[in-house]
Amino acid sequence: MIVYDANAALPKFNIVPITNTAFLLPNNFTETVQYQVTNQTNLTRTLTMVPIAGITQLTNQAGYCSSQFTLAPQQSCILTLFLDGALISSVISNGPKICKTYGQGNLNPDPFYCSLPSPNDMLAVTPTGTQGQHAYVLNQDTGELILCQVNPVGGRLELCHVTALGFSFPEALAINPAGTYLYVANVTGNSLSVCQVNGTSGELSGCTDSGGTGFIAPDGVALSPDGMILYASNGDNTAGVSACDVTGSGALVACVNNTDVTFSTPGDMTINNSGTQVYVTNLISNTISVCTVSGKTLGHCNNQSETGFDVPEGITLDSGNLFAYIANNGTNNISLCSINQLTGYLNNDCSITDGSFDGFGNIAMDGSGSFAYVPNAGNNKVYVCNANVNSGDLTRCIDSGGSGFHDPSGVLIR
Amino acid sequence: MIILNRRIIRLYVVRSLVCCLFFLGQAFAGTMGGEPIWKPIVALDLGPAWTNSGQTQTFFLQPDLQNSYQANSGLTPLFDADLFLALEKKIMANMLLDLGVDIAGAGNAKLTGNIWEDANPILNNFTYAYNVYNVHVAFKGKLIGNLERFVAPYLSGSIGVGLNHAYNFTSTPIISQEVPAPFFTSNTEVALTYSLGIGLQKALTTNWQVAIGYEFADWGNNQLSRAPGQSLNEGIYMNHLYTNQLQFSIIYSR
Repeated sequence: MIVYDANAALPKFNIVPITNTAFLLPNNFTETVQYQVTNQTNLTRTLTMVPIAGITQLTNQAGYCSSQFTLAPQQSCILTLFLDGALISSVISNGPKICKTYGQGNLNPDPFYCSLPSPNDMLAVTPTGTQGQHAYVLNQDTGELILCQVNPVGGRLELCHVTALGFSFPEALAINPAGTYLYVANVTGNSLSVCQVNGTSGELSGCTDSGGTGFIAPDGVALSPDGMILYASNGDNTAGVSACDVTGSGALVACVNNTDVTFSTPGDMTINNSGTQVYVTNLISNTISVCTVSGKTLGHCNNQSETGFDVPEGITLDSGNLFAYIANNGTNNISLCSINQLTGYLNNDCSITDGSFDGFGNIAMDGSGSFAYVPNAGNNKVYVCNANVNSGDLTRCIDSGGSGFHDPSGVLIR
Repeated sequence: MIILNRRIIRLYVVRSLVCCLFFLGQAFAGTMGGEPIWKPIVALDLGPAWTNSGQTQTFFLQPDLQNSYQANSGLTPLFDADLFLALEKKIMANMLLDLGVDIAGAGNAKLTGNIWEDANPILNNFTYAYNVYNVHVAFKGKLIGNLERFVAPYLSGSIGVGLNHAYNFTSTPIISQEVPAPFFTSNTEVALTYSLGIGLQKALTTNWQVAIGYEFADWGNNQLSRAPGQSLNEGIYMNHLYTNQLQFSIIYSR
């Protein structure tokens, strides 16, 4: 039994957040905010929320408050608000305001009897006016592809959910420059899948086999800068690096295989911004093959062995191609190497940087180069690290907060 | 309604002044034969006054919403001023009678209290405040005795009609989670007023006198109008606004 002091102020309706209520909202993002609303009066009241432009109340689950909800004394329900960044153009810094209805058939909020959350718990939503980034994370164990929103502040992963599934031990993924097609390398399926990408929400649809041939245990994938050629590294040395033409519908055709003596069970691969060099990890030899490329043909490969490489699995370049991050499966860490800007080779300055990598994937950099995302199959987490754009160092790696990961492998930020 | 009330008051004031002028005329007429029967006087009374902070009341604003307005218990200061235009006559050997018109105003009483939503003391969620000013026009009489003494005691009384204007209502949440309801709006009430006074008066010269006294006044009722969107009753009210005034006067007589 709750006992109140007489003559003490008490909110009529206690509105307590159970999710984050303050955030930046890019115009392609959505957010869901929840409050628990409790009637603290001695009377049964029918309540409603004062509408807020751009915010929709969700009422479709048990326990959710309905549009007009009746609460007996001390009864509660969950007020669930859906915020669509495309519909919110100005800052929201107040509410939600809960009022009784006028009654007698009038379901509108009666301004004579309203409550708010405490000031620190009110909605504080700032539209960025820009497109936000999405994170794609492959679940190697379950064959799913998880889609998350990247929080513009701090880079944490939010609202993660399965956007596509049915992949076969997927390990790598890449998206074309136009952002319209996403490719997934199926290691056990010896195939590449292609999915259509919703440019606003980032959701995938219509995933299907890409039609490409010649793949054997593909576990790395990259696209040429113009998006016309797809490269895939195959775990089988005889298949080496596949190169396929990309059709207008995203299908892969006319695939060829490039082999090289430096390949030693290739893992992941990537390509530089100018499309002239590819980087392929070699799991067995603990080296990186840095190969010239022209069209679908790989030329000379320089086999680079640097201190710290231990079953190198993933390789990622920063946006300026100044640094390479090699994810080591053997020692579960990340090597950081600078790139010779004349030759494109890795400099002999590799060192271990922060980040707890585990498994068969790659790290990913966000568009600003400020954050790096590191998958860890050992604890089913993806870590987010601060990236120093000048030194390339990764620091202050923390759990990204994303959920739904099972043996996360390939990570992509778009 | 307010306009109509103001017209009534204006008519009342005009009639009073006409009446006063009539007496003045009679008084001056009386001087032609020797000792004046009535002589005109003008008195200005000023001073601080105090009133209570309002009246506790509970009423419905909507069919399903009842609030209790708990007036604070303290006294509220205000300023009171009177202009007394009268004719004076010696009615006994030691007693003068002043009769005339009193025009008075009491300024900006601030009435405060707390609002209990649902008339429930655990929902003591707002404070409120509003102002009232009062003006009246009254017939006033004053008896002044013991004229030969160093100071002369007096008794006074008046009855008239006043305008009581309630305005500037605000309510302020005690806790940040609460949202004030729309405010009551301003309103002017016409009311019967009366006053009773007692004091001491001293002549300084043949024409000038001063006085100090106490006056109790009932300015009548005041009430705020309903708030926008309110469907039942009017705003909060006082049946009587009583003031207790410490009065300082300066009097001129011919």
